[in-house]
Amino acid sequence: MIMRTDRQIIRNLKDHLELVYILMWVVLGAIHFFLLFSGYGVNARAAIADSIVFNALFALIGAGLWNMVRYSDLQTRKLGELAFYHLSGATVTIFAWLGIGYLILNNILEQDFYYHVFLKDTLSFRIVTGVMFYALLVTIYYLLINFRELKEKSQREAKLTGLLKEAELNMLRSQIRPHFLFNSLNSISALTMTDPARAQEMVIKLSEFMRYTLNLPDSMMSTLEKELHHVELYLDIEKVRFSDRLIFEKSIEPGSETWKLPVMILQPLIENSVKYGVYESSDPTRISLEARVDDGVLDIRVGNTYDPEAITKKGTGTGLKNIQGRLLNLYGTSTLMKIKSSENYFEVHLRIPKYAR
Amino acid sequence: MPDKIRVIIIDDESLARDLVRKYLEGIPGVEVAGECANGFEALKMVQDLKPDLLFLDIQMPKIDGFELLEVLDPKPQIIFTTAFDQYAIRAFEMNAVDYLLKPFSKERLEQALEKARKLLSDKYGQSDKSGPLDNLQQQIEDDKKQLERVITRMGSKITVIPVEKIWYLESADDYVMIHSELGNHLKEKTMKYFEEHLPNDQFVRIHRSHILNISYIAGIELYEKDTHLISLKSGDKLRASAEGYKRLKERL
Repeated sequence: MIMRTDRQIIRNLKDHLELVYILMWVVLGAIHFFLLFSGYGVNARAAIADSIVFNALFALIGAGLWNMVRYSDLQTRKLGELAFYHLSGATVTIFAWLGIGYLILNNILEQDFYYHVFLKDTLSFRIVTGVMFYALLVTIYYLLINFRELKEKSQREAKLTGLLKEAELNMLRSQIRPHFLFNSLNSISALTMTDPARAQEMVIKLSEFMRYTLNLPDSMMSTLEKELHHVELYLDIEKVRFSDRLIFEKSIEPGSETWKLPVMILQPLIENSVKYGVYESSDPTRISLEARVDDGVLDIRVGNTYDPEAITKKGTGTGLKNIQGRLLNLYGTSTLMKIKSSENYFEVHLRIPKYAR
Repeated sequence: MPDKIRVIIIDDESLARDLVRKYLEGIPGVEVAGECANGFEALKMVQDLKPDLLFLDIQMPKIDGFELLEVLDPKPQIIFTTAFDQYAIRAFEMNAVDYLLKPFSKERLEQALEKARKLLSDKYGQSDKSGPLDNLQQQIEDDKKQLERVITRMGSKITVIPVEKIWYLESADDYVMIHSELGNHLKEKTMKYFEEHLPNDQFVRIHRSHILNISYIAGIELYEKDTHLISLKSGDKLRASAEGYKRLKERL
């Protein structure tokens, strides 16, 4: 709640920056007048003129300083350069400020002798005040610029995260490779002639499968049960194409079905198993999926046998890298995926913690 | 022109074969002589049955449709059937009769068959022995894909040699002898083809008649001026020309 009001104040301040600036000088002017009038015993007329002239002048010069500060980026300039820049900036500012101020006041308060003495006596004090004002203004300007940049940066980052998520979704969807779809449609085309009931069954499965990938949840999280259902739909469809060449075995420990895991994390693994196992071997390929809860972590193993003689077109490993990346993003550790490969068996071992970070 | 076109259907998915067979059943003048599910069976069946036309899938286990075509002799007319459209150009470069994208209609298949029928009758009419696929070799060579395996044939036996198991290649007239862990195999290709298509971080042409797999080098010694003798882990010794030795040194 407090955070929100703070942010609101900052937002309002930012919207009316010019007004705030003028208000600041009005307040300073009032203090100035009060000091001269009751502190130094300067007469009201002279105190008003002094306050208005010097504060209005500094307000004008200070507004110009804004541009100067904007083009002297703290990050890119060297310290010595910056010091020289502001030393000369301060000198010119104070010289112009006091020079013009004294000129005006000497002219309009020509008759006031006491005031003239007062002006002369307070010169060194005014120089010190000028330096302070300069330093204060420049500091505020730098803070403002910094704040703006920070905000822009966070906006950019938010936008980037959005883009990333969209890219991730697209990536997940495109993993349903088109040739899988076309080959399945070809099988359906054949079944319409030989076994219409099975053709219908396959159309329904294919539709359900596609629908899942089109309606991924915003949270990008799912449960083992849902993921499993999706994967089994996929395997059912592939089984129609490859019949005896695909054997699927699963062993799911009761109680693990409700465990949360990233959406579409199993699908690419199973697809890989089909691609490098079934597609490349004329003999039956065994694909296995095991899941159990162990030590507060969901333990999943996806494995497949493969033909050691098949010289498979080497994969680029992007699929597995993507999974690794997603797990790292969600759980903050890169130790959740392990790959085991023997002469004719390939296994990916995932460990999904209870909570994402 | 024979009265019937004899066809073999080659596809690793049985439903895909069923579909083509069902489509062909109703068409007069066509006979399905056989069906098979992989390239190894297909080679034998083509040699035994000498069909006029193949319906050939591209993606199959172990050796794909293009690789099968490479070792087929004689080469029948080919209609490719596949779900991948990115192979179409390559298929036509191989003078395929047609390229059917799965799933396809019966009408589309009839169209393809009509083209094949025309080509076949032209061929018989002119008693021209050279089939449309005879310049295949040349065209495969134009394909710039890097090799991962080499398919060789001895009679009706196909051997798939992964490139990393090749020790060296030796030119042998119009052929290249491939010396590998799997034995010696002849392949009807040029040395230039292999020089261009074998992974060049692994293979170096050390001589006009030798290409070497650098991971099998056991030792190098100076033989005579400008000639080095390279011994392999297999026990073979190969001579490297001055230029070949220079290429080898760059690679090592």
